[in-house]
Amino acid sequence: MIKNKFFIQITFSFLIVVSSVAQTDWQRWEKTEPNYLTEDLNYQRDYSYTDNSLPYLFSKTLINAYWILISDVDGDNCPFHPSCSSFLIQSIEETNLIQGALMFFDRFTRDSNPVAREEHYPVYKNYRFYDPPTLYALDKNKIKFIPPKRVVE
Amino acid sequence: MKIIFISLLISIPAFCQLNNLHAPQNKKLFADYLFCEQDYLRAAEEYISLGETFLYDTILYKIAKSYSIIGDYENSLNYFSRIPQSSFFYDNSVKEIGKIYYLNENDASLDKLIGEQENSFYDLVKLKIALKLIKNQTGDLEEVLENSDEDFLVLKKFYQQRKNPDYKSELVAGILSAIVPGSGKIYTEEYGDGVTAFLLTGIFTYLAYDNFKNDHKFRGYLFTGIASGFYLGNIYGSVASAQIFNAKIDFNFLELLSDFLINRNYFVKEYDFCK
Repeated sequence: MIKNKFFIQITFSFLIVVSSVAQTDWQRWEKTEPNYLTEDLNYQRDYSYTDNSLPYLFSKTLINAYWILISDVDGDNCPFHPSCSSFLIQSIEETNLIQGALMFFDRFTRDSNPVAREEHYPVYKNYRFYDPPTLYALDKNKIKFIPPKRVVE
Repeated sequence: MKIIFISLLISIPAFCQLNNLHAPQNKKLFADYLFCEQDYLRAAEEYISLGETFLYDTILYKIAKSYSIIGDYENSLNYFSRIPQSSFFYDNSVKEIGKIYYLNENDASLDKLIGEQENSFYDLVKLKIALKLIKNQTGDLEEVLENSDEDFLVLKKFYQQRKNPDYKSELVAGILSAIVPGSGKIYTEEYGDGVTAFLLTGIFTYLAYDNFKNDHKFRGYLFTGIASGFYLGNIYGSVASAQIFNAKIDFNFLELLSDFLINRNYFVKEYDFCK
């Protein structure tokens, strides 16, 4: 038997310290600052310039100005993903300025048609109708048909 | 007391040794259990651990089937091809190999497999036809489809659909939209978009006309630009819409063909090993 009058005190202190350090359950109950902001997939906008061509710089500047001055104030109203403004810039990136503009006018026609959209388009994960520019670039190899109502990740 | 205790101590481990848990028959029982519980990867591993001497045709078939179900086609092919020609499972294992070639769209190997068989395996020929239909190689299928078998009749319908698909012409769609805005979209069965295109082009054309008439030149040019954009955009969109319509026809065809093959289990017979 160990004959030390502090043996019990030391052992108990040691056990308490070890168990309290090992115990992390209190972390679950501590006060936290909740973040009420949910991830907004609709506002994942890229303001950067990725090309040096004049048509791209011109259209991208217009789109950036539209996003900052009009769209952010007006609110997120486009029922499609990508939104019409993103569609325009992606179309120009995909093709050229003229073809991109034609694709945009066609998209705007689809945007103006409120009838039976859910019967026509798959759904993107942000609950918008998925309508990418690759479908309209007149390149059959890039057309990947996705049936309506299917959720696109 | 001491003697009893020591006797017990010696006799218990000696008795335990009698029941060898890792004996081949126990391993096989466990593997069978795993197979029936659909734990295919572990079932295959248990069967393999039995050793080469125990790998008779039923076990080989089960291992190959397990790998096939979990999508490990390389291992599956390896074990299916080890099943001897004299085995009861041989015919079905050939069909399973054919199924794997079909799923991997490996038509060269499927052709070779058909060529290697002494008697013609019609089920493999059916898979070959389906693969040709998927790849849209309909050139030499007419002769092969001359068979009164029920599956061949269904495949013949698929062949006719593939050869004469209900495509919409991109040119016609573009021309129609050039004549009457929106009509190309209606031709490609996008009725709502067609009517919307007609209305938008019509409204902006009228606005341009009305502003020019009332001598508001700037607004006249502005609305002319917008109306032209919608007009040309609609012609472009009608051509794109025809392409998408045709892609939809192809997609639906492949879905139907896939459903047919899944319903027929790729013409492979299934054995119930878990009765």
